[in-house]
Amino acid sequence: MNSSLFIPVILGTVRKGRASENVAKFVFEQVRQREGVETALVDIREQKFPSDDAGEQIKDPAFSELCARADGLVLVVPEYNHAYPGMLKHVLDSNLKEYIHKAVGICGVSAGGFGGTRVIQSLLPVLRELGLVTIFWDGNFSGAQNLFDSNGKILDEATHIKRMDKFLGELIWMSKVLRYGRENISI
Amino acid sequence: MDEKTFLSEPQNMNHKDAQKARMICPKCGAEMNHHAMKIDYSIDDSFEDHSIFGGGLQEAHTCPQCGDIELRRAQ
Ligand SMILES: Cc1cc2nc3c(=O)[nH]c(=O)nc-3n(C[C@H](O)[C@H](O)[C@H](O)COP(=O)(O)O)c2cc1C
Ligand SMILES: [Zn+2]
Repeated sequence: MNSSLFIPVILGTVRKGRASENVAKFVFEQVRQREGVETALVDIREQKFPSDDAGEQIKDPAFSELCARADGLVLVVPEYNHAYPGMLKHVLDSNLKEYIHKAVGICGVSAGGFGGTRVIQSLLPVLRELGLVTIFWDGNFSGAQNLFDSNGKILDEATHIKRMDKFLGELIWMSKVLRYGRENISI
Repeated sequence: MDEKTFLSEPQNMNHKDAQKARMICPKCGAEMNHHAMKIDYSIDDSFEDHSIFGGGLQEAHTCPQCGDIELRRAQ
């Protein structure tokens, strides 16, 4: 089995003009630079899940395969009315076995000044029930519409890189531990 | 408890149970590791003892060799 960890970054909104896309690209680049970690940027807008059914009935083989291969997930999630986009929940609900005992970290994105902390808090119980194991570091991106220059480069890069370093350190550690546990420790 | 004992002897499972739990990986033939119990809400459990869960109980198994993941209905 491949010894690298696989930690994809999921962009959790389909909104046109979303600032979260810049955040997801920034986060993806930070994950990509980590040694021993493979990643992919997954845009839920590209998934085209039907909206006339829900749960595993609407499984998308490519998305399920990606989640099955993953050791951990990064969710980049904008705050919409203090919660997560319904479309992200719809997509996440399409898997079950693919998530069990895998690590997950959340990057909250908001227009307001609290770095998406409310969307992070609202998403935690969902992730827990999906069988994912949440880490205690978050990514926080406040004032998202003014956080990037016109080329999509993050302002105050050094601060954000420093914070991402803590977030990814914890996520990678948890991903390794959980992979060992899934493969070797019986319930 | 030393580390070796901790990692190799799950305290809540005797060897007979561990044998029963072993699933063979359908992808590569290796023995899989049973590491979780999960409620599957797509399964109607209304006739089962544990119907309070609202779904069927599934065992989650992961293959240490190829990473395959399988669910099996808990007995
Ligand atoms: C339906 C909707 C609800 C929103 N609710 C909030 C909110 O509760 N708190 C907040 O700080 N920003 C809120 N926003 C602004 C977004 O957080 C902001 O657009 C940010 O850039 C992240 O979302 P985006 O990736 O769609 O741009 C909301 C935006 C939309 C479209
Ligand atoms: Zn296998």
